[in-house]
Amino acid sequence: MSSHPLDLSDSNVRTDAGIRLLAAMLGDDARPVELLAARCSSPEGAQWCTMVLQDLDPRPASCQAWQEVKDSAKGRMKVHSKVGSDDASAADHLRYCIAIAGALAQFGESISATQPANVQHMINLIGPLLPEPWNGVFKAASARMTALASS
Amino acid sequence: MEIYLKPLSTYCRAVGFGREFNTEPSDLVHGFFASRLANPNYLKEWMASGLRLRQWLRNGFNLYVKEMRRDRARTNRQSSDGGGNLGRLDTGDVESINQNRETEPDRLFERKWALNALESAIRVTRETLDRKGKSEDWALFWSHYIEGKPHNAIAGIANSSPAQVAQRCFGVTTILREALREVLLRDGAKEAEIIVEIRSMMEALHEFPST
Repeated sequence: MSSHPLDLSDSNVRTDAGIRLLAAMLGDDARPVELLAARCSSPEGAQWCTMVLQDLDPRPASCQAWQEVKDSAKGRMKVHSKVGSDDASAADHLRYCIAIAGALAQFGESISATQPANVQHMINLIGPLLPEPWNGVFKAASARMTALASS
Repeated sequence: MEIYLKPLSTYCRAVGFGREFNTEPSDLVHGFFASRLANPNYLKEWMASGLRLRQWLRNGFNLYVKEMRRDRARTNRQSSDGGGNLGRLDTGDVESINQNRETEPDRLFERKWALNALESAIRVTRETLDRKGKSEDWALFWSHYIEGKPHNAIAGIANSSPAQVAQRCFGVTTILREALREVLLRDGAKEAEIIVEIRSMMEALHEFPST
């Protein structure tokens, strides 16, 4: 076991460790998006994200495809939350977030009933933790959010 | 004020104040602290402002730099014929550069502050554990929450049951949370805002944000 303080020289390690520490401190106040951030920033987080998203097309032909990804993930989230499978719930939540960001990025459409501030928090928090091409999708979604807010 | 020194120095470097005044950013920040904290009303004014202390200090630091520019321009005018125009042009140039760069230095400042706040909370937590004779609990906590090891995997190494490991990790989390809460309260957050502050810190930590 190691007992690192937070003064690690690699700034990406600092970021990941910091996110996990803060998620731990939120405790029962952590929302699914913060738990997902902790999962994505785990030592094998990038590998896990790639595995969860491997069958998703980052540029589907229609926005309806993103809607279907979101609805499917939402349905499974309810099932997994009942059986208490944290990792499966996190995987579903990641696909749910990807669908919302993908629809925004590619079609400029909001397919979420969530408040825009919470969508922005999700994009800001999760996007930088994802490997490409998903990181780029979240950057485009963030730009769309900014454009929508100023229009 | 120690917790604000590095974030302000980072901000100073990102905006270019150090280069502008040909000095180390930390020296400029120390000068700012000496200038403002000598005034007993400075922190009273902050308390009445409703701002976080870090935001109050960052704003104050920008004002301090403007005063330094004004003093420099005045010195230039006094020391050379026609130097006043040169001084004003110089100041304007720097202002326009700063406006263009405002977002990135602000973000870097918030990131550095979040890291420093965490480091401060960690230091307090480890000191508390040392005092209680529970220094080893930090390693258990780190293995579980940061390295992602399950309680039962740690239990064998720690010579404890998984339930005991979970309990010891929870104990560290409680101390750490309280330590960070104290940092945030000292910065001006209200009790009801602590959770929102922690969520904001999670976003602020990203080196390369979405936007």
